[in-house]
Amino acid sequence: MDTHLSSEDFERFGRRKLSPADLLAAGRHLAACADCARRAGESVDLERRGAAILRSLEGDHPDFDALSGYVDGRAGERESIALHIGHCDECRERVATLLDARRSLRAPLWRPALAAAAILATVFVTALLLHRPRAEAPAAIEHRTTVMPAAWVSAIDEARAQRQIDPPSVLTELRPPADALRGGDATKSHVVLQPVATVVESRTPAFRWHGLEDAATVSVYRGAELIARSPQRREGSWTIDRPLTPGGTYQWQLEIGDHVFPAPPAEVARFRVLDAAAATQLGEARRLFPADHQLIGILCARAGVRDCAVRELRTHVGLHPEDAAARDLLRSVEAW
Amino acid sequence: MEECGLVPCNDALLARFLDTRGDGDRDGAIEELFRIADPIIATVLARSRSASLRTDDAEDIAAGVRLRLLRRLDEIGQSEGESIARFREYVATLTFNAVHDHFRRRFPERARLKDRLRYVLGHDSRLAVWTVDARQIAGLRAWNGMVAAGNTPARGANALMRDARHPADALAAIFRAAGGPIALDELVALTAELWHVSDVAPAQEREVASAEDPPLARMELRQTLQVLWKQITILPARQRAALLLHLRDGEGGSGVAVFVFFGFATLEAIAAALDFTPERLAELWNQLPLDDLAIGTLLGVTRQQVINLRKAARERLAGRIQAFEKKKP
Repeated sequence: MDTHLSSEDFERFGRRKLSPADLLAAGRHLAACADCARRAGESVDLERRGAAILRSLEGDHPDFDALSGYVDGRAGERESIALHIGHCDECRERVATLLDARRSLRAPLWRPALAAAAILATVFVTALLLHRPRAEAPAAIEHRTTVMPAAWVSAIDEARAQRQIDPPSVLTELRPPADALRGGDATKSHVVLQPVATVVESRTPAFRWHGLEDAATVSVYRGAELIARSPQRREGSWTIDRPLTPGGTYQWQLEIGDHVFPAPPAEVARFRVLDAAAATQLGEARRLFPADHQLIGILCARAGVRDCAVRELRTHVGLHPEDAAARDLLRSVEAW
Repeated sequence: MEECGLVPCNDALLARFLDTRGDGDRDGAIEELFRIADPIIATVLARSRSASLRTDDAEDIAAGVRLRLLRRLDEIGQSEGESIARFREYVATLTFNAVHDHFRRRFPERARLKDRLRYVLGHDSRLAVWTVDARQIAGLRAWNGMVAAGNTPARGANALMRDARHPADALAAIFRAAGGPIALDELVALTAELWHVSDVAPAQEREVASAEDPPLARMELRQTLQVLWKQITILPARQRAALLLHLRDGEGGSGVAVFVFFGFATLEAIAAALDFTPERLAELWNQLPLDDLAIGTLLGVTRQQVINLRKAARERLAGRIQAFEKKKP
């Protein structure tokens, strides 16, 4: 098979319809021909099949009996199931279905006779109570627990009341013109970069890119000053080896031979490192309320750390699938 | 049910397994339990067989059930708090759940309805669901253990039966009208019609990565698969072979082709990972993915050892992939 591979060849390759000799020839051609390799990688259903592979290896999803037990509040695997549904949309939806079913059991169909009897009983008891001397209400018992700062309580209340969290202004400042990162160079329109237009929590973030065949060098700038440069990388990611300044705004680019992507000044990949005050606040929240994923998610969102916000709110929704307000918050942040 | 301390006693079928000393005895005992389990798994799958359940799907489901069973036996072997009171019923339930999970992705609305019905049947004092002859049967609690004899409501449905907001009352009305228990799958079909639940077309497989930013999601997926391939290449040889030869892509095909198409591995690299020549891999390619018996024959081990090898490989990979994903910015 010396000629380039056609769509039918790819189909036969994937569906195991090639003879052994043709298979070997096709495999050698794919290894040697960048164009055919690129076309193979763009197969429409390839990502679905890749996702299925990952799913098959990610560990077992809890089965019906386990999820039913979780909904019923039975012990056993409750903690591990809660963690699982924090990141598994499918299982989280199953739990929501079972919670609906449980609620339907709590609202049995009223029978008229029972309803009438209940009303009569209520009237009778109320009349009795109105004629009894009132007892003194017992003094409230004060329980000492970790008290959440009022500012955090307000942040949660406000977000839940609005059922959305708007992106902070810092993200607008960091955002490049629409499609600038992809439109400037038509040959690189498919390249995706991360982090872009976001706040990162780590002072040594990982830089990721996808869509480039060639080895690239990562350069990180603060203004015009070069802060760090990576060795040539093919893997599509590089973690900077020196800590960046909290609160600092940086831009980064990929250098491929003589070319730069994205091309400044019109197109820049900008991000900010979380400032010290916000980092301290998040650290305190995690220390004092490690299980309050809603709080941490909201604080991350307010600070512009989108990835943290999505991750924490997803975990909260996973643990509290009936919490519609939290689900709305998650959707609003995912939509940024 | 007899209690052994705080938990029900284990089924007498597990006696040899619980008494084993040393791996040799244990492997033999597990193989014996698998010989009991296999016909039950096959029967449930055969009764579930439809145009939507392909042969390779059934094999995939069966392999998953065996793996879950092996894990459960490990838990019982290690902890006195764990037990299987009725082994055959447990295997049937595992298989029902696995079949349900398989169809859930293709027919999500119907799967959701079935989950709802199962929950209500198991929690309303008037209702029950039980297993007879590898079939799940539903009905009034007083009928527990009876066989479903093609019962259906004799006349048209009344308002109570159509009231999806009160499923327990609706089911009780349906059963009274039918006069006897109904097979669970038939009950699902009946209530789907009464409550207007339908899947217009089989749903597409969900992406693992988030759908809110498709290019970013594709990037993350590819990078995770690339890391996965690298981790596979450093697994112990037999774990690697047990995993790769069995790997499925969710479309009935072999997962190893996906690594080739993504450009992470050549055919030669895959052959090397399997300790095959490229020619040997090419001969075997059209048979992939293989079932556990065939893999065992190739590797010179028992089927149960193949399951163990793949289980170990999956646990190792799952941990490493999770560690990789935690490092994402």
